[in-house]
Amino acid sequence: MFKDIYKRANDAIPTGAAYTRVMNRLEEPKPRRTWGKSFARAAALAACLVFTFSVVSIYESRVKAPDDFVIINAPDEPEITPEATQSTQTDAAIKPSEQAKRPATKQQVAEPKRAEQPVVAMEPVSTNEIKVNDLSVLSQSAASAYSREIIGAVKAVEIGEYREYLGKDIEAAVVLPDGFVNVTEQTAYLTVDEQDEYMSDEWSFIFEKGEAYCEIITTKKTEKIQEYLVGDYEKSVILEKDAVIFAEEDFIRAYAVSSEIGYTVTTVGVELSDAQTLLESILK
Amino acid sequence: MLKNDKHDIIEKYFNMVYKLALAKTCDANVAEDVTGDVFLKYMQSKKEFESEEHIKAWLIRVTVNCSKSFFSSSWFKKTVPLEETLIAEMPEEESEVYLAVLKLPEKYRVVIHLFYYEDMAVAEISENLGINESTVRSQLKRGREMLRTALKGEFGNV
Repeated sequence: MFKDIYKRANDAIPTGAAYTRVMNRLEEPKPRRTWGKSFARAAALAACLVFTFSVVSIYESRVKAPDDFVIINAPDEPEITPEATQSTQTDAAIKPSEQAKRPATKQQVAEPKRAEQPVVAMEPVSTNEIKVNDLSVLSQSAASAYSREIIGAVKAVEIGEYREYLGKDIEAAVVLPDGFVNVTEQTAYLTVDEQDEYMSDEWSFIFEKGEAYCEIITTKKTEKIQEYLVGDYEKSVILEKDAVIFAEEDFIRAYAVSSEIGYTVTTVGVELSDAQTLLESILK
Repeated sequence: MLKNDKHDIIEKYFNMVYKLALAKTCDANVAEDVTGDVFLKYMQSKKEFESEEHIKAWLIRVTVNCSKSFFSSSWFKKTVPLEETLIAEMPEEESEVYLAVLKLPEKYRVVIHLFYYEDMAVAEISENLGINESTVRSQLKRGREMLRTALKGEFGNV
């Protein structure tokens, strides 16, 4: 029954318009090659014309007065770019936290491999500002940065190795409400290039409690998350770091960057205040 | 003009790639761009494919890697609400099931989609995604458990 309904649901999704647009894009004529002998000849001809025109102009014309030229001022504010935004974020001093922190929640793992979390002293929150975007506007076209070759070699990576690569132990840092169980896979298969560099470096840290779950996807390739942070969304501030949060009923999704790590956090069945606590625990 | 054989492949697997991208990204515009990128790579690829099955597996792998989560560009201003694009044409029963799948964690959505919509076996999913069969089974199991809870036992067995 579920299978039939899910199939019908997928079959009901219209694809005709998307197919037409994609095919038009694939069939766009390629730009003409501009190198080779023809380019050299055209460049030579253009140079001759420019030289000739310049000689004639200098001979027949006079120098224009300075006030005939229009000066275009540089914009008053620098253009916001992901690189500038990231630079601003990483350069900002992190002030001593005055937030309220809850005692670290003891996490019970499905396979008993982790030690108990130590209890951490808490301080009152005073600097966070949470603004939630409607989930219905979470829809934008993909970045054009998929140009890199995606297919590489698949490498089995143990979580310890990934922890070293990331420079942070998410499982130890995250603070969740009581009862959540860590079901994160301890091995993942990541794609690497010929130099053994990660082409995709995302890891999903998943915690479940009955119907509720929290998923934290981490990456050091933060460019695309930065695009959310500079986009037209309401921004939240968590530990003086920008975050973009979407929410609908009991579904929350948040994007943030901290210490050169990009985070995509998804929660279901978690209160916004608990999601905020989760974000604070991993962004510090 | 696209070569006939590559055009045939694109026509044959467009729906598969597009709907997998949808399941992965939950976003019609992102999925369309991902689909275009996948087939652009296919067109430009100099890879020697041994068979059509090899092509299919390659397309699935590239689609999954291309559509890594919800990253999208803020410079493309056309925004369309999730509900309008994906489920506008669906009856209520189908939309409820489809949205329940979309709310699963990303990696569960992919295996659930490949298993239930593409009718792929665990071994096939494992090979196409480059992950262990045990991981696929684990992800299927957890995905099913979440769906059963979300759908509250309706719509038959998951």
